[in-house]
Amino acid sequence: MILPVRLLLQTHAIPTKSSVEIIVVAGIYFVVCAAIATWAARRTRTSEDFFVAGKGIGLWTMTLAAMAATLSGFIFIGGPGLLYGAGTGALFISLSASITTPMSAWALARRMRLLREVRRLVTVPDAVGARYRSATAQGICAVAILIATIGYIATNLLALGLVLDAIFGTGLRSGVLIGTATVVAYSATGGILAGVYTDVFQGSIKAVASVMVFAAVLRGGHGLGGISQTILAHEPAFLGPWGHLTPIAALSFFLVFGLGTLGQPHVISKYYMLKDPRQLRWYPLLMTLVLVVTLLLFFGIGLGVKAAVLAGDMAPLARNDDATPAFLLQRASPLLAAIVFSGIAAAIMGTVNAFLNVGAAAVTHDIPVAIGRRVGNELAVGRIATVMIAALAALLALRPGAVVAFLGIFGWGLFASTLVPTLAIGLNWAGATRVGAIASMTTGLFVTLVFESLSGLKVYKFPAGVTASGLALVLSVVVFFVVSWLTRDQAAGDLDADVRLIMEA
Amino acid sequence: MALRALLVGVLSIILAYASAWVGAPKWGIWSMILGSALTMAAATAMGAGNSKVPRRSTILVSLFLFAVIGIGFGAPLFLPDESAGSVLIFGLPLRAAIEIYGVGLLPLFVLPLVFANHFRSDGLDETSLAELRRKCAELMKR
Repeated sequence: MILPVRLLLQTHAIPTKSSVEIIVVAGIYFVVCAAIATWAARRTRTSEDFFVAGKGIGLWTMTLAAMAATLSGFIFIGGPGLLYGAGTGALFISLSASITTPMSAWALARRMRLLREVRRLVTVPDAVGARYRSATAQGICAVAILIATIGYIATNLLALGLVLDAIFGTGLRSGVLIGTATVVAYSATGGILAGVYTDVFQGSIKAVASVMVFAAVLRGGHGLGGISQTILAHEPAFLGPWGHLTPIAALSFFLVFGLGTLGQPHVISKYYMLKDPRQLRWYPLLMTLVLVVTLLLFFGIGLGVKAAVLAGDMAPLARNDDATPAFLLQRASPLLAAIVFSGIAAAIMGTVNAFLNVGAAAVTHDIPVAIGRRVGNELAVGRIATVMIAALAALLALRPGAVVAFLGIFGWGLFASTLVPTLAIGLNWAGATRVGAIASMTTGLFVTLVFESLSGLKVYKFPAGVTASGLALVLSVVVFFVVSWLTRDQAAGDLDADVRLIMEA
Repeated sequence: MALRALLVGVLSIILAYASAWVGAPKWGIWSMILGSALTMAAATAMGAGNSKVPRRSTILVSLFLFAVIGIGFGAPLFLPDESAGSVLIFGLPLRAAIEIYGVGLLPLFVLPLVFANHFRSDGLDETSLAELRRKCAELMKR
């Protein structure tokens, strides 16, 4: 799950005490990732292998890869911290988890998969270009994705540096550099193929770690009922319907992380990759189950640590984001702590790999297509672009936190406002027009950049509950409908016959 | 129909956001709840309808989702605050339980199963895909 960076950004050291177990388990984890990457690199021979896993992947692989890309390190660190501080309202970020995958699969899966079959599409902006017969639309989409991607990678590399520092005592700077080098090593050599197979391993660690932690939380708090009663006795508002947030703030989380799921390029691009599209039948069920299971850690630690602190079993946290490390170090076995710390690294690396692939595709494929200068050897250029994007993101990550936050904040709003109307609605509505799509994406880009900048510079502050991401999303949808309606005479001409056939299939 | 509902839902959310500038009155909260419910239900109906899910099932799934989200977030506004000793539902106080088990978990037992039940695998086997590629190539030649 990707989030506005104010929530996601991990900017201070994670408290830990490196034990032998943590170092050994983390060491094994990195060796396995390296082995998978080496194997995948040997199978990556074309740009299709690099960007869309060549001949395709199986259902379980796709599910775990989509989950690993969806749930970043936030669910292990920032999420429990946010829940510890804000109460029930923080859970609205994940409350749509059982709705979003079926919704996305209905709206996008079949059409995107068939578009790939017919047009040999490689990237998500490719689908935008094909839908509207427009290189300009594809280019705007790619630029928006690239801006968002670099910011997110920077925030995740910073978090990875902090985790490596906590485990191995590398120091933050070296942690960021080592983490970047590790992810780049497998992303640049094995592309998405290395990504999806390391994601299977990383996703499995995340799921197992979450279940184990949830069980430990319940054991320590005398069950969920015991935890709730402790909280109700000391701070009942925490378990109120919105926690300590305003209703509109909590509901805004639900909307943006619900509807916005339709616009996450690193997740919906997985629809291109399934080897046998008939297996899509079970994808929503598997993905939803895996998501819900993995989110148990977010839910469990947030509530469990709050109850333990209120009961006096744990000291109050210095910072909300210390909830997970404090729980692991004070109330979990060293082995469980080791697995979860590896899970945190896994979560971050899985997300970074997915973003690197999407960003490299924008540079190598989409922007050149938009300006009419296709790259000759997309595989080689894709590898170079992966390294360049990672290097740029690492440089940003090592600058003062405000710079990273400023760039990363754009991410969510740009993805959602660019792709939800243009692609998710556009592939389901023959009446959408090219002008409508371009106006909608431009609106999303403008609203997000301007209002996040004003907010970041402290020039303007929205009232509680209103976010630039949410506003950009709803305004881009309205602009999409209105401009498409105003230019409805062009709708038929903006739709190629083969794309129309696929939309009606 | 689904697209119109989606637009109405989004406009309702814009209205809710606008209410935040005038002190977030209660109608703003309701506008956000109903807008969110309508938007999510309509987006689901849009995809399901275009995926040839039978009309009746599409309507039922959309109504289910609208009801789950609308009631899940609306009902707690009518219920009293909880305190120590309040009755717990599966370990959570009533209002949080309605949201977490209702909105967060209940759709898990419905939506993916409806998706699987009405999933059309026709047209997705190798032969059909080859036929689709041929048809599309012909269309583009014209």
